[in-house]
Amino acid sequence: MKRLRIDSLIFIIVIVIAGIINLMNPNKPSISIAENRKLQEKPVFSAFSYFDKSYVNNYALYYSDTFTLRDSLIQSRRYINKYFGFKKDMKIEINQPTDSPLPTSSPISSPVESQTIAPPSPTESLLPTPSQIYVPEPEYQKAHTVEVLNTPFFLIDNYVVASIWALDDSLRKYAQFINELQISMGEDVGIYSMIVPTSMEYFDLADLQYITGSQKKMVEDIAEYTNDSIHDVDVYDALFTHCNEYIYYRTDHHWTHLGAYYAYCSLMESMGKKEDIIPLENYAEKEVIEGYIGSAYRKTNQDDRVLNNPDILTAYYPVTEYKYVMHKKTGSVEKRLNDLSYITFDNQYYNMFMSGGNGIYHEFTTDNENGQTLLVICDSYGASFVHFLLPHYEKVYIMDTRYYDREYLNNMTIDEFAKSISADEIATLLYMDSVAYTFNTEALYGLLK
Amino acid sequence: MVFSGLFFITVFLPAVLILYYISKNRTYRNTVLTIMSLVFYSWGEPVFVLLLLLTSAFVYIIALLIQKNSGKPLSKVYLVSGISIIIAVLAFFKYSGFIAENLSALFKFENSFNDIALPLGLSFYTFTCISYLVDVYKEKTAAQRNFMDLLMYISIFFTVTSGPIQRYPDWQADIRSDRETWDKFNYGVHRFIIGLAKKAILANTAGSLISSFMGTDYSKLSVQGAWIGILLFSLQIYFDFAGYSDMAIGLASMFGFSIKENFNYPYISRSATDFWRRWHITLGLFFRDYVYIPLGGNRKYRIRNLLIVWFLTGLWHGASWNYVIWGLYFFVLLLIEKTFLQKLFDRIPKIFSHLYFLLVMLIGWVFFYNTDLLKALQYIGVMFNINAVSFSDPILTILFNNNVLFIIIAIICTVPLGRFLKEQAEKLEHRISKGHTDIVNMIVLPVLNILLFAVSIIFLVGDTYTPFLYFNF
Repeated sequence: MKRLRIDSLIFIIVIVIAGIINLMNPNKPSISIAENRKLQEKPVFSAFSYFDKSYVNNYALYYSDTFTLRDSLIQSRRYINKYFGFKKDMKIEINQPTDSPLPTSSPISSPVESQTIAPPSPTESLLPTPSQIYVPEPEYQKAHTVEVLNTPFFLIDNYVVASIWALDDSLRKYAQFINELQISMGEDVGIYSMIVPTSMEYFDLADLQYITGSQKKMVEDIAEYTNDSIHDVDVYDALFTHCNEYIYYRTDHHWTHLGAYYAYCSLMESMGKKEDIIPLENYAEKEVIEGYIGSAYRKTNQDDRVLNNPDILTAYYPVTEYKYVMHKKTGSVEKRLNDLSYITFDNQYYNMFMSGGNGIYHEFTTDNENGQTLLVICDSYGASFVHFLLPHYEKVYIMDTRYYDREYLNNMTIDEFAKSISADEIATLLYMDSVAYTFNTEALYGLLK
Repeated sequence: MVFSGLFFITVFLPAVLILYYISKNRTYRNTVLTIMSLVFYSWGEPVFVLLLLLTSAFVYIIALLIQKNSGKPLSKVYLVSGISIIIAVLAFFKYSGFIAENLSALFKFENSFNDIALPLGLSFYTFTCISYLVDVYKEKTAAQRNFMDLLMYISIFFTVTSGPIQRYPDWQADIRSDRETWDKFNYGVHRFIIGLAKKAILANTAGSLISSFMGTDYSKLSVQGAWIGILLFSLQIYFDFAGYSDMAIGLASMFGFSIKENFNYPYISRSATDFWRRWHITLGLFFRDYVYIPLGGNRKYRIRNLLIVWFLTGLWHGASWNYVIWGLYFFVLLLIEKTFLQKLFDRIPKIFSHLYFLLVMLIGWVFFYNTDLLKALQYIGVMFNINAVSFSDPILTILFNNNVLFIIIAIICTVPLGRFLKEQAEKLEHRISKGHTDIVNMIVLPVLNILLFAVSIIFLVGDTYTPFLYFNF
């Protein structure tokens, strides 16, 4: 053949034109409506970003994220995917035993114990004896149907849940982190370990239990690996007692503010401050925002079944006056909790709790002149937890480990940081995903070294 | 930068093509290819591009020294020391963490060694360099006097990261010749699109399904799930690497180079011996020519030689014992086949040897997939219903049903059906038109190519970054 064949010609024309359009396009999108997320921003070139490869990696991501007609091409792919198989009976009915509760997953504690972590109401301040109040024995939420979304996500009734399999090495690494933190801090500093199960744990899956690992077992393993001097806060049971309430979002991997409140109660009890718990009724001022579609929508490749099930986000305002400073690389800025500017369609509403939560650390100062300082080492679950801590401390520091920046912190390890702020107590607050996999726990452990 | 990335396809590739084809000057064209190859490499390895340059310079000098002392004992000294040094560099980056880990386990000391990142393509270009030095020593080729031409051979962007491993004598003739033709260009575009489709449509889809089956706790895995899981992995790894190789061959062809094939429908093999003639062909040939034969080949210590070759083949894939076991597994299979099994298969219907091969191939991939040996054994146990929780489970059945057509299409793509249909269509057309038309090649094939290209782009756009599996090795 003496010339370019038609397909070669079209190929060349397409790649050249696509290249020119994508490089020259001045109106690159910054958000994806179809995916409900922010797209990668154009990275800034510097010698450092070039040599640590972040520039080229982010540039490639930016280039494909902002590719012309991306949303329509994604739609086309979903359309093609539909023809990959026979979508028939998508729903699996769960055969729930009619009379007996789940035999293999009995609650850790007896009903009397779980009663003690029920949220106190004003009448409870009279401290009645256990026999005076009837607290029903907690039961797992009975699941009725399971639908398969993309791995590892399932739709259980109308909750998007993700199955989870912890690596034992990872649980040990977490325990090693907290044990060594305790040794470094000394015995005078109380260390509290809070591990939050994900919503999937509280469903009674009957004969489909095998689709996920037991988070109860994971929590028990961690408690076994941690030293005796560590206070293992029983968040598992605190949430279990209320698992039939709205403590997790249906479309998001976080807990609701109510879930965070129950965990706060269990922390207070573990600290021996049960009497100081502020009743939920006192949190009268709140925001109630409807139509929240959380992170699960993006993670399940925009599954319509997620979209049809929006959440209601309730956010309580702190009952204590406070000053909140978010420390960022670019400088320290004063913020407020429950920032309504995050309630826009392209944002995850959850970000409103602590203004996106992406500061290196967050410093709260209250009017309580008790000299008490608490450091919370956490993931994004911490953003909706801090509200309830403020009444009890003069200083609360929230440190989301993902944003730890050694350079900014004068090369301090996390224990050195805790000493520098004279923390009286330290609580870790991590949801199960953050401790189940070694890439997270190795990074966490690295903060001590 | 990966071949299947949008940035490569729509920015880097057109840029190289335009810069390359605007002048007919040979030196200019070769310089463009070399410089753009270094740009390509430094995009992924901004620091270790220096190692690539240093290695090339080192190999350039050693080859000249070997040639200068040809016939003298000194040439062998240069060869051995040259190879030792480049292997030492590979060992340092790839195996020092592994060696430290094993020594610490053996002598019971605490291992504080941090793993070093493996520079992209080091496993591949080290072998390219070794083959060049040996070929110069054996006088199969003259040492290249022009450093830029040698640098092009070692660093050329279509093979530097993952092969196919080229031999210098095959490459040499193309360097200064008028190698480009429209036929080669058209073929190059066709091969590139075929490779892209294998990667973007087949490998990435199979990869996205695997974790449901193999990413779980094996004690909860059903027998059916275990088989589907490993089947999907075997499809993923084949289409990933064969797709990459097709793209490399296609790119080379666009610039007029004819480079070695790496795959020849490996899954239609009838034995492990056959498989290694069809899978990662350039690696198998490298070990045959530069390890097995120099050790004595079939003539002396044959079993020892085979053992060494398969140990090294396993170890080359990764610094982990599971890869070594995977290599030795093939050593055992080859021995069994050579001793009696091959003779048996020659006498019974072909279907039995195909079934035998599919079984041993799938089991082999279990060792390849699981870096933890105990997990691999547990997985194989589940496949054969030993300690499996159940035979089947409804969730995996749904996943399977949702993707069954994809799995069937992918399996069909592992056999030479497309090639067969094309040949039949050509024959039919020839018979009807008596050779006056070429609709198959001028219309049908181009239309199919464009369709495949469009679908591949659709699949790539929504995907997050999916690097080729063989980048790890």
